[in-house]
Amino acid sequence: MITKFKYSYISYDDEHRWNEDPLVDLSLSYNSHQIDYSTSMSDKLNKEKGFIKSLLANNKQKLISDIVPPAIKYRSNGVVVFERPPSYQVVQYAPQNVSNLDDDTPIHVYRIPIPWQLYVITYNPDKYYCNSVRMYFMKSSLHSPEQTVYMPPIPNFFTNGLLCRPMYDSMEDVDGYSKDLSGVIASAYDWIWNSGFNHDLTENFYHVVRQKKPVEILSLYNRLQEVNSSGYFRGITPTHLKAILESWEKIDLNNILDLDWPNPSLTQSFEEDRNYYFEHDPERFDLDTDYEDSIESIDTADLYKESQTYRQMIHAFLCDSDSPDTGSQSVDKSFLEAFNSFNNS
Amino acid sequence: MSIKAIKYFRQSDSNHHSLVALDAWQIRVRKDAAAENIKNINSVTFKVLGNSHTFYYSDFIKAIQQKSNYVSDLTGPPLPIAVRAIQDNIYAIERPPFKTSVRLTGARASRVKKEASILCEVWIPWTVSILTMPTEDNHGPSLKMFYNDGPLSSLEDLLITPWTPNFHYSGEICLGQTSSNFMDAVAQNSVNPNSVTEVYHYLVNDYFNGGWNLDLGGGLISTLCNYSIGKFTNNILQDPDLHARAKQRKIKFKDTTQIRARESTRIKNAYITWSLLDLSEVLNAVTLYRETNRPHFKLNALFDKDESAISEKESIRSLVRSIYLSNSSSVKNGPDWDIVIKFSKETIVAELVKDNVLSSAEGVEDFTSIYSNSLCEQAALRLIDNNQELFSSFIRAALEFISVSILEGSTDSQKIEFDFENIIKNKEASHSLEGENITI
Repeated sequence: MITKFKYSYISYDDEHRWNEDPLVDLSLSYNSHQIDYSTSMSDKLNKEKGFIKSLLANNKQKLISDIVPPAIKYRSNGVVVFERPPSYQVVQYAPQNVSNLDDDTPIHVYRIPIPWQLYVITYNPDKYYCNSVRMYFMKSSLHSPEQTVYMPPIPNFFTNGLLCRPMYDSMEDVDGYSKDLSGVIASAYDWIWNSGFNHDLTENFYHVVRQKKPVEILSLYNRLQEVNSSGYFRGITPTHLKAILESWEKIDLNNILDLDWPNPSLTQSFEEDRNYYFEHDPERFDLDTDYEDSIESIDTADLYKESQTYRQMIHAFLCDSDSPDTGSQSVDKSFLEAFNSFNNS
Repeated sequence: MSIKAIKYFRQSDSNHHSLVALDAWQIRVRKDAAAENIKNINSVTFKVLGNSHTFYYSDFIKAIQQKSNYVSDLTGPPLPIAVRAIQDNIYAIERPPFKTSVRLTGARASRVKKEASILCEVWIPWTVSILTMPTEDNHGPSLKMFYNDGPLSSLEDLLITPWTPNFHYSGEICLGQTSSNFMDAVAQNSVNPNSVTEVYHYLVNDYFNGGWNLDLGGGLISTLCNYSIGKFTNNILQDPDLHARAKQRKIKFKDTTQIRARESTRIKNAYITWSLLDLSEVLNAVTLYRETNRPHFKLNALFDKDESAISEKESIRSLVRSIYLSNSSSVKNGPDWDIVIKFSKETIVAELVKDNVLSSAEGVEDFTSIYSNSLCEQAALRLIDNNQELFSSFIRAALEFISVSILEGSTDSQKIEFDFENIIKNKEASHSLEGENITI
């Protein structure tokens, strides 16, 4: 923490943009990490320089660096939200979890129609690395933050739309994108659609079955033996998953917007949502946080029935572990840089 | 030369979380009113009037780091579909080609009596609009628009000024009545001034649907026709293809090749020519126009704000303003303050003698001049300039004294009075501020 900060700026000239450098009397002192910094000057101040000017300039966030693809709906420092219209996507599914994958694992390929998608990406704003990717389904383009968003029943996603980060063989796969927002978007898209899927996270498919949304992709599944929902993977075996994807493949893209999709959770599992509601949104279930216990207060079935808007998902995302790192430099470092710049002015 | 600006920050020694900012809003030097004759030489008072703001260290750091407000950034109104670049409050919004009706009045806005009827329909090529959203410093939005022959591929793409009327050559739309209509719509809550989508649609729709006039002349379309760029021409009759299209659509036009043809008729004919072109011909004209040596624009230049032009003083003002506007409950207006420095009549007289304005101190009571105010005030300013380091040191000490008092919780107006002679005599006084003449 900066302490003993004192800064005086006394100018002896009217300052206009067309003026020469102004004659000023400046005095600056502060303490950082037990070191006292002090300097002063009484002279012409180069118009390009100044302590506060440097402090602000060093922390300036350049939000967008280059041309970006259309359909960005929101952006903030280290976060971009964009959408894509309905389309066919190829799902390459390896029916094993990651630790059991080998060269002999078969790859099943499905070409499925998907509705509007909304992507919430966090990235390092200095280096433009993708940090996390979330995806939701929507029935139309996002026109309001109050619009309902849905869980994508795709493998490797948590029920709150967060993608389980893929593993790459080489740095080129991670670093080979342009160092701008377009590169972040391209890499996020590849994380989902071009890195393949396996049998690691299948909870989403359980919710297709549990919430019966959309029933249209359950036709083949319903012919299979009922799942043991309390078992590992919620009883969703590769056979169940393939049955769902196979039925999905048969749906026409033109009808995809008519389907109902499952409600997402706000955290990485519906069970954890109880604590979220308790801490951040008790009014949703009319919770009395002074007297009630979070575990007993909400029935699991009620959690599944709760639809979520874009706004609600964003509020939950901002409380989650992948909430954006602002990438801001430490204040002490900023002070030191501005101090040095000031001394060199 | 004299002191023109004073700004000061101080962090509390006892509570590191508290800071104060002092800002002088008026600095003046005045000859004191002489009882006998206003034309006499007299004492001078240098006075600094200022205000203060107190806030927490966290407010200060937040303003420096310009941290994003993720909730408002990510849950406000969504952006329009084709935002292609963003910098701060400036958005580049792309729109694919579309057809629009031309309602053109061949006169200036002030002479327009009734809404013009539809003259024709034309293809507007790809457009790139540069929308500057309202900010605390800039209450109204502004919109520039440019034509392109395809979608943007880079910030280096060359864009041209639109051919439709009511554009400045810089691409800025002459908003005219639209600006006040916009403010009315905001006041009536029919437009959200924070929504890029709503602001963009309001301005663009108003431009394309509100009818055009010749306030800024006919615009670039005359150039296209005069230089026969693409299929644009001043003489449709000489282009058999266009002539055939006009005949087929039963479009009438006047022969404007005669010298005496009115300008408004020429412009209307240019629009009729435009209406005969299909989209590919319009896009081709954009390409060909861009290849001529006429002005064109690049997005990166349009976005390149000259940050270096902002001085240290403006940076400090901007920082304090963003702290003040942060809505933090800890940001408070502190008490006003003033620093008064008296220059005695003897000091002023001595300076005037030294400067040969007066021959001696003895004759001062008889000296009158209509310039006496200026003479005395200039004498005081010279004294300040000649003792600048000492004077600045005193001002700093006074600011420190005031800031400590405010940080200790004083809510009373702070006033420091000192005699210039004492500052000169006792250099230490400027550091200690423990003289008899201090009044707080």
